[in-house]
Amino acid sequence: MLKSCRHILFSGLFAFLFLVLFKTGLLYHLEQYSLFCPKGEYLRSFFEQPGGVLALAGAFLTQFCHFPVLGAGLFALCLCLLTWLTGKAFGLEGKAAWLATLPALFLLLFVTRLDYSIYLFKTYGLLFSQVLGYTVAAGLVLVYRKCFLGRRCAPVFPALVILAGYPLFGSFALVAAVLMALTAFREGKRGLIELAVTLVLGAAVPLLCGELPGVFPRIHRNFVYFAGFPYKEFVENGICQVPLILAFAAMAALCFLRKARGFAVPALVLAAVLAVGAGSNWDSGFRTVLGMERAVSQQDWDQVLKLAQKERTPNRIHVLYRNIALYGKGTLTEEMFRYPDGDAPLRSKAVFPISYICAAPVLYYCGMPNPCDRLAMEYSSTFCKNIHFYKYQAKTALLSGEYDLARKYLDMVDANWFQGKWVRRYRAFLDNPALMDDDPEFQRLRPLLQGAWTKYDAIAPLEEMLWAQFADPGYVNESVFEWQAACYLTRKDAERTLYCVFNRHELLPDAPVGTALAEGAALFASQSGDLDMMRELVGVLSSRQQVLRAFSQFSNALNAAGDLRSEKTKERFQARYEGTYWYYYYFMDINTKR
Amino acid sequence: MKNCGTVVLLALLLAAGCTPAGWKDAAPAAEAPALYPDYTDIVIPCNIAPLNFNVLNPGDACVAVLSGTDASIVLRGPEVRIPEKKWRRLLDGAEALSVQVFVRRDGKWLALPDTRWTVAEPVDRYVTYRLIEPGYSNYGDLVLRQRDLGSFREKDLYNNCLISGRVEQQCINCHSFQNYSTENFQFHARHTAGGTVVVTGDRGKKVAFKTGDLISNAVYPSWHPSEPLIAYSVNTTSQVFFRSDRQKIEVYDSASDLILYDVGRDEVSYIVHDSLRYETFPYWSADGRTLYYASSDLPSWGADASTDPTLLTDRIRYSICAVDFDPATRRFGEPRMVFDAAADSLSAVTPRPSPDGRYLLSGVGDHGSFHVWHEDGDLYLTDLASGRTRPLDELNSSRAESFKSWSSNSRWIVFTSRRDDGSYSRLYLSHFGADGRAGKPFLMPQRDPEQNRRLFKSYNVPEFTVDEVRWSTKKLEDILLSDPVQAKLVPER
Repeated sequence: MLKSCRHILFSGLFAFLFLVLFKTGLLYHLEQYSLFCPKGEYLRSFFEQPGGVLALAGAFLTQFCHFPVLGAGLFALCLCLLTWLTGKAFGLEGKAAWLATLPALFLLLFVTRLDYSIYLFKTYGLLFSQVLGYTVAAGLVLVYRKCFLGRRCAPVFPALVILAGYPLFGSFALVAAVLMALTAFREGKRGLIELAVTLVLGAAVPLLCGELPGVFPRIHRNFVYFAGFPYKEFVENGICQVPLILAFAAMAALCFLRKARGFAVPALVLAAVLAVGAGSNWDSGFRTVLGMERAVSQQDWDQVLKLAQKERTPNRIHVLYRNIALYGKGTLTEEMFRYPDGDAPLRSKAVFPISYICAAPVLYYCGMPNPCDRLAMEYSSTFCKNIHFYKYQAKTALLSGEYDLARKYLDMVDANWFQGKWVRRYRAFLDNPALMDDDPEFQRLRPLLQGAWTKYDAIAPLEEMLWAQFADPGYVNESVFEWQAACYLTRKDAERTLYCVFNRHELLPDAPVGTALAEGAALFASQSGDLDMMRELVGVLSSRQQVLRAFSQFSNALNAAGDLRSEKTKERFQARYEGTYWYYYYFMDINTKR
Repeated sequence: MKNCGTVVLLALLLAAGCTPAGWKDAAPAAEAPALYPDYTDIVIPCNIAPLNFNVLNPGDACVAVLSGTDASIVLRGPEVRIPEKKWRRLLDGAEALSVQVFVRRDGKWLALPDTRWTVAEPVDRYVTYRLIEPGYSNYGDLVLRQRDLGSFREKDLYNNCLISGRVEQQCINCHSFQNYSTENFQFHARHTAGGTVVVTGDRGKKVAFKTGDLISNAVYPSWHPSEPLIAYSVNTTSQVFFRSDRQKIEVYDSASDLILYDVGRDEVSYIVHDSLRYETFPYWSADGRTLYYASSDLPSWGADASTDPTLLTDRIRYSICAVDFDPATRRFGEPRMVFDAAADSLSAVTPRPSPDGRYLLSGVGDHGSFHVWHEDGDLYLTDLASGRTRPLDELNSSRAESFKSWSSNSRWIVFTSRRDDGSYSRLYLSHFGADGRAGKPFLMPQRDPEQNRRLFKSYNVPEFTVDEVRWSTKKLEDILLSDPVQAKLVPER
């Protein structure tokens, strides 16, 4: 028994371990960027297009990825089922049974090679819907083989599969019918009839569904043959679709397999395994983004900073998440340059602004509820509606005192499994808004709302929006001061940095100046050449003598350095001064307009 | 054994469906019934769909009794779904229905005071609206949908999924019908396969309006009630976002004019073309002899204009004007003021004269023209006989009221309101009495009483019609995919 199931166990175990070891962040992300509500307009939309059942089932199962190990287990189980059905459907026995793992491995590859395109998904339940689609197709082929193959009524079954299956499973019904026809063709048992039936109905049914009024009111004529597949996805990143094509090709090839010879089976399986290994997305920056995103959603600032420290070539998303975490811990202007900084490009063929990825959390934690709500609304109407955006919309509504609206979003989040704990935490504020006064999250954010900001919001890249928010250097409170200083330092704005340091010192002479800010102020005062200002700054930084001493040493090193653009100089300074604002200022050229 | 199981199952199902015992012996309680939607003491059309509701009063069991003249229905709560056939029988000939809610609390049944549903004139059977996320510049799935108010049946007039592709998006908006009939109607599509779909009987075409010196394509429409004419505004529209206000966005025009489109000849001509004023939101009177519209002076930009004109949007205030029209000669008269809202530091837009010609509804806010985003957006009523205008407080709430439509018998108003949550517009119906008073508004009934809470789209531009649209979405898609007819600009009449 165990011997005959080894290939099934292999596909399941391999997928499970691969996902658990390398893709937990991805699974959690897919759950947060999904939505399941078995009622209303949401449910209705699935039945208005062919293949909606698979997407709905996919969205349901994706909920389990809230616990990535559970999600990985479920995905692995689906692959086991697919492998078993594929083996049975194509009559693969003995050594050849291992070939049944090929479609499963390609479907695993489909998931593991996902990159930043996941932020642009317009299709629900993609993680599971494709596996379920192929599983249904294999199951139908198995029924055909067991009950119809070789009988006179055999052509009826593919016809029924197309007629009844297309509305439910979309083009996976066509895939099943094609595989049945190929199976019959190989067996030589009236294969041509099956093939003809499949071709005629396969061409006609989707076309009719696309043309007949009232059947599927939302079906797009150009894509009737791709219903159920992620045809709206990966627009600039078509290679992500390749594993799905390979899965079909593998199944089609299995229809013609009569006997496994020599090393062909292990070679093919090994090739597929290697394809999963080599074809998966190993971009550590992407992985860090997912890890940080999860940590931010759980307000686990230490974890965010741990990841920020590890990422040696960060992109702007890493930097912004890092800043949120530092603000959460109250050490933004103290520590922000102790972590690696950078503007590494996103490794993806899909080109889009970083706001698609991190706008909601960044704007929320910078105390910008309206822009946060606006962009969350924009993205959730352009792409899949999801828990992630509804959570931020609920929180911004709470922050803005729009409790009825917050309740609406919380109710929707609550309709999803495993969100109860999160919802309970925020629902408590609806019943008693005064509780927000004592809640650390809102205590951190409310002071940020007190700024006398310009009336209008900038329509600009994310960091430009932050800049517009904090561009006025007037002192409001300590929370706003942290973000103001962080923005000025990031943009190397000497005038505003110095203004806000001196201005605050005048208002609050005893307020401590964070290390990063002290480093910036020392540098800018020195650059100004204004001796009075420098003397005054020494007074302001009286408690940061070590910063001034270090800056003196840095200035000497800088004067002796020669060409600052040479890599050697950069390396030398990196060794001694990485983690200071001075290194950032002289050696980091950051593009904040992505 | 098998049969036995079936019997037990049936018995369980029946028990679950039956009303709990004991409610008939309930003790009267003073506690008011709390229903969602709030259907307490309202006036309803005699042809409306069942008013399903949830009972919010706490209790471990609940029963609702609906009584008419000759019949009554007993239903188990707290979610009360009224069977359609029984509802019809109940409504048939009744002048009023009584709704009493019984709740069981701590083992005792309480009879809450009954509420009255007064049955009034019928409402037009269909209402067509757009469903859209209350977004700002992006949009996803948009649908123009027609709802049968006598049942829960809905039908897409058109949805943008048919044409929006992988990247290409299509916006659809501004549906308009001629004189409450779906025989002739129009709507706009923007971006992918953009143009205006104009349907007349069994024929349809796509029209491109941008021509000559028109500042834009046709925007806000109004079909002439009898002639093959559509009045449109043409607008240069922009939007700005507020950083921290409760009002999140301001949509404003920096130029606008009124044009008349001859459907048969595909000709457009200016109605009002005054570069020193904004004119927008045209709407015909029921007799087709008056065109109402909103008009504003250009705000005085002064020295600020060089910095940022968007900073002055709160100075734009519209008033309602009218211009006479002679259908025989197709000539317009001189504009006259109907409701000088700007004089009261208000801004009145979207005039809607009642079909009986007695009243005019306007959307009024502190400033601007797009009051769906203004918390202070309210409905105002002008008595066209006396010229007096008052806020229609019977319908207004502390949140935005905006789009509205009169029924063809002038007895019902459907309007959008954000009173539920401040962000998502919902459709409310209200009876409008011969005395010029509106009844308490109530949410358009839904099969699932919680539907409005679960829906993450806004309703906008509700338009009554007396019949159902015969065109299928696919046929309208074909029109949109066809080559447009270019409208020609002809000299003003």
